[in-house]
Amino acid sequence: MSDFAKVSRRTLLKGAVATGAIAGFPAIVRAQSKTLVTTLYGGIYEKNYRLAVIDPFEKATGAKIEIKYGGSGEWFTSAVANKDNPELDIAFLSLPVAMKAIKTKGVFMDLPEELVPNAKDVDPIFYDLYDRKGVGFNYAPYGMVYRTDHVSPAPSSWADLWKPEFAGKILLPDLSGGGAYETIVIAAMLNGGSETDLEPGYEAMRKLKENVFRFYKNNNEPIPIYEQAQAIIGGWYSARAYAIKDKGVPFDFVSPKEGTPVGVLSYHIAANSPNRDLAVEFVNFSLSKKAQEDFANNMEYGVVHKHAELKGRAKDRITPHSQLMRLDWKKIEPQMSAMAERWQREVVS
Amino acid sequence: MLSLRSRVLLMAPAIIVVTALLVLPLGYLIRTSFFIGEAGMPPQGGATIANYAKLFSDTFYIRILGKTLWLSFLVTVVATIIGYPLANFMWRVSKKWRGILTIIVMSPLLVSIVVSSYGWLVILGSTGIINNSLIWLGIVEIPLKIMFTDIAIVIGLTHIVLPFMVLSILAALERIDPVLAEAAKTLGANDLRTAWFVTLPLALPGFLAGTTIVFSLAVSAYVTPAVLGASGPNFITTLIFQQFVSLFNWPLGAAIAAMLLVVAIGIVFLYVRLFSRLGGPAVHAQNVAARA
Repeated sequence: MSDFAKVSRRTLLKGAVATGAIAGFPAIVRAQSKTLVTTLYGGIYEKNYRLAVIDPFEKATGAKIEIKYGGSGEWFTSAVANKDNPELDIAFLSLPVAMKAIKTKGVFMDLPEELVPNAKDVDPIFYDLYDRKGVGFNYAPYGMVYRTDHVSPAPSSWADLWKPEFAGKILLPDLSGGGAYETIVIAAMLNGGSETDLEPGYEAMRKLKENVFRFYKNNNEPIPIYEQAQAIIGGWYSARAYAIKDKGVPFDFVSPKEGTPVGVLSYHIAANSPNRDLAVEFVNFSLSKKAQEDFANNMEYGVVHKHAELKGRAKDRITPHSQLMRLDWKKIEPQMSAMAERWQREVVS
Repeated sequence: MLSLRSRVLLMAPAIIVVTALLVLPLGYLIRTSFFIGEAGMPPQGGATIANYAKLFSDTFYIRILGKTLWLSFLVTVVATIIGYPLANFMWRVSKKWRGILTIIVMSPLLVSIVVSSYGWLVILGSTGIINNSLIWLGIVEIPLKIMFTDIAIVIGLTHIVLPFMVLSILAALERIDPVLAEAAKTLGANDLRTAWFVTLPLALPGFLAGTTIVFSLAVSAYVTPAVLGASGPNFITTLIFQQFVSLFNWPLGAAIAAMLLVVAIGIVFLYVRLFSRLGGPAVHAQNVAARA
């Protein structure tokens, strides 16, 4: 019995050592070949982003990119919570959240042109917007989408959403879906308001809410709903709509005459990241003409590079910089908390 | 009997895990709830009860808490009504069938909640199986709106919590001495009377365990209300998530979470006390019977 105990104890120890070696070894390799942690959206976005940016960067530098999935709100929350010992080297944030990010002191570093040379080719609307504390990578036009077999004629104005025939058939984003703040501002503008006078927007949204089938919480939710025609019209990002259309569903995207606001994804580098230099190099790499063109032509989303050449279908499907609706985020940002609270109370509940 | 020291030592891993993973984070959460919240900023210092004052002075939060408790209560009732006959049936069949049925009953737990919640979309949607059948049968003309309503939350949660109810009741039933039912019949009770006056009271401890677990799971569920429920803050947990992730107001979110914790523990505590008074004699009778 005691022999057995001895053997098993020794075996156990050996096993433990072996396990430790296996588990510990890759960590050593990782430490040597530098790992950069970035956030990213999954699915088709990840596929194209890997092809255009991550894979070539890993090849060129030998660095390893690790991805944290989720949503901008969670990433920003993590960046603030762990600001002294960041979990994320690069937070890749969507627009309204990014406006909060550049206002929060001590979390992210500044990204001046001296550090990121390729930023000189970035359209200022995607760079100065962030006070050069962050820089855009791509933009997604947020326009109107509709089932071509149920909606005729095609919608041409945001005001069409208020038409009574669409009652119960409309999909709009909730706060976490992206586009909710823009929707309030558009509703205000349609009714004589502006970025600083949102009251008409809330009033219009209170009227519209009875007609809305669902305020979606993420951008995967609308897919089955539109495919089954449970909803037939709404606000959404262009590439999402084209992805459904390309499956053969009678579905399309339009830029309304008032214009399309954009969802922009931008880079924010953790000020206390031990990999700051590599992170800056990564951002600079992703803004190169080649990476920008590769991404835009595959993903069919707009990119921030002023001279990126679009080809084929991407050229037809990407709303050019000149036709984008330029909301004044500097004026909207201070109101965001109040907007979110009123949205929660008056519109979605 | 183990010595006190060995018993404490044996408990140590559990105590360490519970302390590290439950007590410390909860303490941190409750501490955060007394900070000052400002969107996009780390919580600011200073002990303030402002967050709690906001919760209790504003019917918005109380209303959502009330709705959460009400829906969780409904889930518990529905799960009990469905769960008891099922547990009773499983108790009566042979050991082999009981094993097979147990696996079937457990199956909802083997599928990710996210996946099963999206599955409900296919069944409950306006062009889903239920609505298509109702229209085909001519019962309704316009599809019923089931998806993205409170009813969908109750259906989805019941599906997930049912195994806990069934297995809790089954465990209690398995402890009943079969002789008791035979004795009741010998003394002239029919099947119905036996089930109502003998089996059911003896199974009460199982009901207590089942309903407590089910209610606690329902009240703290997040994914199901988020995917199946109406837009906006439809459940207290989605409201907490929004405070943290969409509004970046951690202290207020923490205060709502603390409120939910206190209220849920309070309800479960009162319920267990009330139930023990009711179920006490039954447990006592069972013990007497076991000794006899």
